[in-house]
Amino acid sequence: MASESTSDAACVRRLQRGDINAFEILVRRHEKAIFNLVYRMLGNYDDAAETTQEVFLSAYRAIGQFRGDANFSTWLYRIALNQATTRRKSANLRQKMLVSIDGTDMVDDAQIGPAETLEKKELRERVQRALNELEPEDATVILLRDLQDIPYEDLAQMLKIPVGTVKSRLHRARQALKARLAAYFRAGRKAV
Amino acid sequence: MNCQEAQLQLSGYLEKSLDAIRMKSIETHLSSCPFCRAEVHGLSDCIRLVSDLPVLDPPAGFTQRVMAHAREIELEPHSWQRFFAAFKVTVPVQAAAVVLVSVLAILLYQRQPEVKNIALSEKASPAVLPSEVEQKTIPAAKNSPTIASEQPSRARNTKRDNNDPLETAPHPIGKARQQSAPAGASIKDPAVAAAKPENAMDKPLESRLAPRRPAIQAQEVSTASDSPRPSADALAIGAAIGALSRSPLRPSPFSAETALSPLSEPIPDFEFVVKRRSSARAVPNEALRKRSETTPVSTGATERSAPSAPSGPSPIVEIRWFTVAPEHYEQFRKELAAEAIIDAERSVAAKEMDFGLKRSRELLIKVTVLPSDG
Repeated sequence: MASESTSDAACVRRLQRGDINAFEILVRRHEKAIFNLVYRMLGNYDDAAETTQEVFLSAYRAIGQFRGDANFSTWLYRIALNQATTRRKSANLRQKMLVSIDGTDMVDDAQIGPAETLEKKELRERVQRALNELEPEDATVILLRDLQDIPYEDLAQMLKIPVGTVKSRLHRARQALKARLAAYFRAGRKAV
Repeated sequence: MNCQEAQLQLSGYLEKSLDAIRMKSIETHLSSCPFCRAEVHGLSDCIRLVSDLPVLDPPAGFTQRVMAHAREIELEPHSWQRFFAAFKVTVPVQAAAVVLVSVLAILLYQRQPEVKNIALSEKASPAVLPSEVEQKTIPAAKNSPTIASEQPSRARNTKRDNNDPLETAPHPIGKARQQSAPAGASIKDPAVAAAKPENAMDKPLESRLAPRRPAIQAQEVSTASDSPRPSADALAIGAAIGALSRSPLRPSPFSAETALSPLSEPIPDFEFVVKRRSSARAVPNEALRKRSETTPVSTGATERSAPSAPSGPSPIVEIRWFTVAPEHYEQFRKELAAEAIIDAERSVAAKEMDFGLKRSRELLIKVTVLPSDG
């Protein structure tokens, strides 16, 4: 019987032998990270929930093809990026993304006042909108590195590109994001 | 270091992933370049803003929903499982069974000539057969018939002990099978029991090849192995049988029972009703009589099985069964006539209809022995 302490590799082996309980462990272990990545890629909570569910079910269907060459998490992230990128590219969703201010990024810091809370909320929505406007691969590398804190080596494996390419792509993506947030930075500095 | 070189490494500088020399050179450049310093601040803000984004929880019940959907999905098999699954789809079980049966049939067909060849070679080889006959018949002749009945020769003895209910009906297909199947041998017999393992390989094949005749009660077949004991033959026709000792004889198709059932008596190819010659009348030996496959039968049963037998005051004392090769029939008849007076002879009409078949096998002859008139 698989337990919460069982490694991903062991859970995968059990799952490949038909132990569906092992899959539940994998879902619980990775659902939060995958959901947040997908959510930041899409900018919509419901779409993110739906896409994340599809990510796990796709992994479940294809678990027989997972050979263990990479970590299960790396394989799962790759599925998530593919699914989110496909979803993001749909014109319908793009339209929704441009107006997506769904109030999900609530600020729950009780030590700050209402004005500051509103400002923080507005800032997060701007960042999310800037991410939505980036090219998918730029948003991906920023989110994986700066939000998920994934090492360069794993990023290289996940994106199937060399580590040097990951670094240069990350630098270019950060500059693109900075350009999207330039107005905010100018206003903020002026305010400061 | 110029601004272009510095900006390419600003991300590494902010993450502190550069080596000490490069870190120092970038710091030197930033201290003297306000443009690159502003760039560093902007990138640093971007990293901080993204990393400060709150981590959200998935919707409540997310795991349960995923698992509910997963349970409805049949897992995709491994690549090797898919490989074999393809065979499962294209080769259903029925087709596999047909192939298996076909292969078995071919194997059986190929082995059948081997069995026939063994029988033919033994029949055709005079150097082997006599010695073999001697080896197998002499011990039986040396021993008393009672002992012989207890230790039947495995290859030759097709006699049946009427009182042994464990005997099984052997097949009627020749000597090779007689040797492999302990025809007429009792399972209780330790000698036969010891011989059984070495025949274990042959028996299943024989049982497959040989069409089993139904077990018929209270009947026996005399064979050549009995003939070297004329003095032991209460009917005094042992010499006639002995002359046929080297003919291929069909083993007994009967199981030994003491009671003759009118429904179970086989249909002989020929029936003889004979009377003992008074000179040939041997001293009755109860042990031998018991041994020599005689079976007292009721008058009614005799009349049924030998309707041409003269009915009268003289009771039938014995009925004997013989299997004789067709080419030895005339010889058998002559020698029977020499040993006994043939009262009646009958060829069963129904059996003559398949004479062509009869020629290919051995003849089943029923001899009803009446007491001599003298």
